[in-house]
Amino acid sequence: VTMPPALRKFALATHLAFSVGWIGAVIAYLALSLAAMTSRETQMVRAAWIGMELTGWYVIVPLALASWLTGLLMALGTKWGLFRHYWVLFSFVLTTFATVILLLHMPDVSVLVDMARETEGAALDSGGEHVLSRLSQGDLLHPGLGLAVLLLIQVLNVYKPRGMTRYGWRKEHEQRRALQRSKQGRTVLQP
Amino acid sequence: LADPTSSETEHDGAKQAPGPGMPRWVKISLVIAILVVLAFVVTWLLGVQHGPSLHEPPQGSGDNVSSIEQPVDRP
Repeated sequence: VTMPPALRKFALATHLAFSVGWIGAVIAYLALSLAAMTSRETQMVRAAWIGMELTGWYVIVPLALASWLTGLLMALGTKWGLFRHYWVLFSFVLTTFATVILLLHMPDVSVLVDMARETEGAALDSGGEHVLSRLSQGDLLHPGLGLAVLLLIQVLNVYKPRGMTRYGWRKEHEQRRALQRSKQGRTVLQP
Repeated sequence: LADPTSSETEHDGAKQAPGPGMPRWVKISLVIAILVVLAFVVTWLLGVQHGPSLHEPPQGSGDNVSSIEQPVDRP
């Protein structure tokens, strides 16, 4: 199924907005994480983590799901297909992987933020050293690797490295044959 | 994901790939992916903390959130 040109452009614009927004939101998350790691003020650390949780659940997760879905629609609704070209397949697998890791990681962030919320500021300073030390470790690994994966996907989408899958070759061959047959049929019919 | 506005030449470039064999960049990417998965499995088997357990208070310390919330009565 191929989308009409107007719908294709709209879908592409939507997909780009979601994908670029996802990358931007991850960078904002990293900035908050760095703030939590570098600050010595308890309230600042806690506020940064609360901001990270809000950004994660209300911005990054919706953008990731929307980007995954619009990417799938773009692949299936255009001539590129989902399984015809390696770069499309790789992009889809990497996006799925990043989304799954994100959905598995966010509950951990919520656990930490709940711990920080449940402790009073004074208690966090005095009795909750381990909570503060955990919060001060920040969260760089997951968003850092996630950002690297997203940039890799972006590079794949921009450069579109050549290479067709076996399925893609077979489909291409079938389409060429069908085209040749239709051309031969026309030449026979013409006087 | 897929950019339908790209020129036909780009699409033709994909068509002109020599045969249905796997391109070099795909092979290298697959090798890297396998190495990453192996590294993850090895760290998991070695018991490196990851996930929710990383955020739990150390066992035996008795220093958990509930103990922070509930003030201890001292004489």
